[in-house]
Amino acid sequence: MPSSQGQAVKKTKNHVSEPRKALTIPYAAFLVLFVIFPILLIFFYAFTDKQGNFTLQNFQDVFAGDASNATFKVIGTSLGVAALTTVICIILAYPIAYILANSKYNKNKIVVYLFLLPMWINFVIRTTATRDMLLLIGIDYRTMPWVTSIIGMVYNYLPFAILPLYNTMLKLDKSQIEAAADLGANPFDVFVKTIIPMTIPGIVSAITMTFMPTMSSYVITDALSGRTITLIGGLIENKFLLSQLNVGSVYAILMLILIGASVVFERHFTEQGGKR
Amino acid sequence: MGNELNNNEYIIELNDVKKRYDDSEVYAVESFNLKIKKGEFVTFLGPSGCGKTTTLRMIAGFEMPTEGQILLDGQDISLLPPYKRPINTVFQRYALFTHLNIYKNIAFGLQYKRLPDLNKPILNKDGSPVLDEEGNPTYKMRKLTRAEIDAKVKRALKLVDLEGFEKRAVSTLSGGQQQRIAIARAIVNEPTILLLDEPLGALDLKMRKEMQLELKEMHKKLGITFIYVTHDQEEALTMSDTIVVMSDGEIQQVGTPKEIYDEPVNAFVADFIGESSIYTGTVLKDNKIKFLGATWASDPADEGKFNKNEKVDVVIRPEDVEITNNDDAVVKATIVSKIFKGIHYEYIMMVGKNELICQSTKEYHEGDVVGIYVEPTNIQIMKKPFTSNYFDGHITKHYNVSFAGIHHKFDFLKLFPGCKLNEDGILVDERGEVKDIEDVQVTVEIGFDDMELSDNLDASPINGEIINMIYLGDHYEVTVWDDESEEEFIVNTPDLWNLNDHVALVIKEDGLDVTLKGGDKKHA
Repeated sequence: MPSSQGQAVKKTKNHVSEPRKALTIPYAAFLVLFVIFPILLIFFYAFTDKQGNFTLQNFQDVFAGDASNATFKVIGTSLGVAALTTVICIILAYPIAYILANSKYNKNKIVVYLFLLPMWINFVIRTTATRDMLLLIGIDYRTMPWVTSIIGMVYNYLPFAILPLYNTMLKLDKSQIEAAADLGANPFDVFVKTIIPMTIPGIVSAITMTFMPTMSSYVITDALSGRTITLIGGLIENKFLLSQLNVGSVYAILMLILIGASVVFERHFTEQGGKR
Repeated sequence: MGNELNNNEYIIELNDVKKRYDDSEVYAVESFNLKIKKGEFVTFLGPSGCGKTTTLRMIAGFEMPTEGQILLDGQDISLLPPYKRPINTVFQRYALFTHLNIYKNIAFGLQYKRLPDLNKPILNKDGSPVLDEEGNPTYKMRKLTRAEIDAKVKRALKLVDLEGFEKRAVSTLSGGQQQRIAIARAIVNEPTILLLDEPLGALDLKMRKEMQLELKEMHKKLGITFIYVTHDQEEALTMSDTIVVMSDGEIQQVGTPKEIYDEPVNAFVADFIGESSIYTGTVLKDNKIKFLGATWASDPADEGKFNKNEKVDVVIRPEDVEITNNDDAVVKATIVSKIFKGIHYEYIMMVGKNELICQSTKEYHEGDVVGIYVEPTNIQIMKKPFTSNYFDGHITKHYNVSFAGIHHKFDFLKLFPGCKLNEDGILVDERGEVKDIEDVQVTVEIGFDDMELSDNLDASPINGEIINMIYLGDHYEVTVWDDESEEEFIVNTPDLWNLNDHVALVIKEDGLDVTLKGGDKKHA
């Protein structure tokens, strides 16, 4: 290639890129202001005392001696609630999505919207209504806080599990299902050996969509357990309400690590799915 | 399997099989009768939507016939689910399991296979073996061992020439390779019948030719019955022992490739298989036939098969047209186009207003006038399915005829001799009594030449879509489907229209021929 042409290209590139660069400024500002700065702030608070001096006392408050038991109990509860909610959501959502994806039962996609409709209702009203409705049918949040909490969580996050599964099942390769039956697999084997493997990407994103938000949510459990179940999100809220910003920040970092770990975990699974 | 004693020459029989889908009012497959011999290579050939794939899917078990029976080795399998049938399919888009590697894909069917375990005879209480109907001892069934599966997969891969591909992922294979794996995955189960649903459709031409020969070779080697579905007539002619030509859900012709090519039973088959010129001819006496404005000697074998003056379809294959300048030339033709096709020239000539396609190794030039001769045995004569459209109709209150969802004026006085209209415009008979002809059932006949096609959809209440076109030398025979009345109209037109065009059908003046139905004649 003649060098003059290369220069010409470079010239026009420079010419165009100046105003284009300017377009990135709002995004950069947004990133710094709402992503990087808050994270730095959390780290700053976590490693300083009220006067702003460097200290590791906050971590000791959270992890040393008796405090560690309480901390790990809350983490354990959070993980447990999130995992249980996710599992129930997937078990419920999978057959629903499968049926919805079959156009025979879901003409005009109206039924899909019926399942997603609760998402359009204000979150607080929905949760309060859930509590009162459960009370009405005899499931009392004061005597059975775990039952009501899990019901509330599943109810809230079920649509997030249905949507990705539904999308995957719409794209299901019907001929592979027929091929399995053709090769001698009975309906159960067809389900286990072809339908489930084909929907793995949907299952993984359904898990991501339910597990991560349930990890950090606490409003539902607060409302539906009468504040008897404390999740890590609730703990953070508490500390900040009591102006214990420094200890609260340690919990926030803790949650960041937990969610980060689950993202890495799920990414790992998705990649395996993609490789095949 | 008591039927082993019976005549078991046929591996599969379809008896009067019909299929109508739940959401449709027309039959996708109609009265399908076919017997297939063990080890035969049978091809279902037809344009898309002719019902060939539906028939295949009924044999595989993916669709249940609405009516009729499918017998496998004499046993009715019509309602058996696919996994219980010893039949395997090679799918159009291969349908390989993308989440499994090649080995696991091929081994998929083998994990469900059961064999009698010769070490575990089934015993009566007294310790004697339980015997089957033919007196042989019976055994408990067992799964295949890992080593057996290994060996079978290896052998299947060898057969399709892809040894060493066991660990590969499906996505790393080319289309042709995936096709071979799909075949290996099906034949590894040693099915009694292998179904192939347009398996080569997605391959490029060269690959397709190669695979055709390989499939044929495989069929010879394995001795399995192959049922092959394609819309490619050349593929069907190359590979099959028997071709089943289908159109509109019905079998048009069953025969060897040579029979189908040389002796097509109707214009559809002739038009679909190979190139041909098709004309409307008239049968004369003394074994003569008139077409292209001349009188030809026709095949002595056809003598007596047709009535005198009967209108027939005449099919001439391009390779059967002989150019001659001797006295035996029957007609003169003007060459209008010349294409060199490698081993021969293909000429398009005009005989009067008719087009004639001809292949010859000799070179002529555009504009040359040549003599044309065709051997009597090469003039294929076939009955015209119809020359008119027939509809059931009835007479309306206002003395119009109602048929195919429309009302049309007609000469009703002709139907009722002796009757006339009185001063109030009411039909009366000889004695002046009012004659009620409302709802009298009639047959409406419209000749193919009694209608005209029009672009202007308002020109006629009959609107429809062009679903088929056959070129008949000097005109096209066009089939128009009216979705509203669900009626088909066939019309001759000199003009070339496009498939799927929406057109109006204008009935010419006096184009309608209305006759009373037999039963009502007496009453009237």
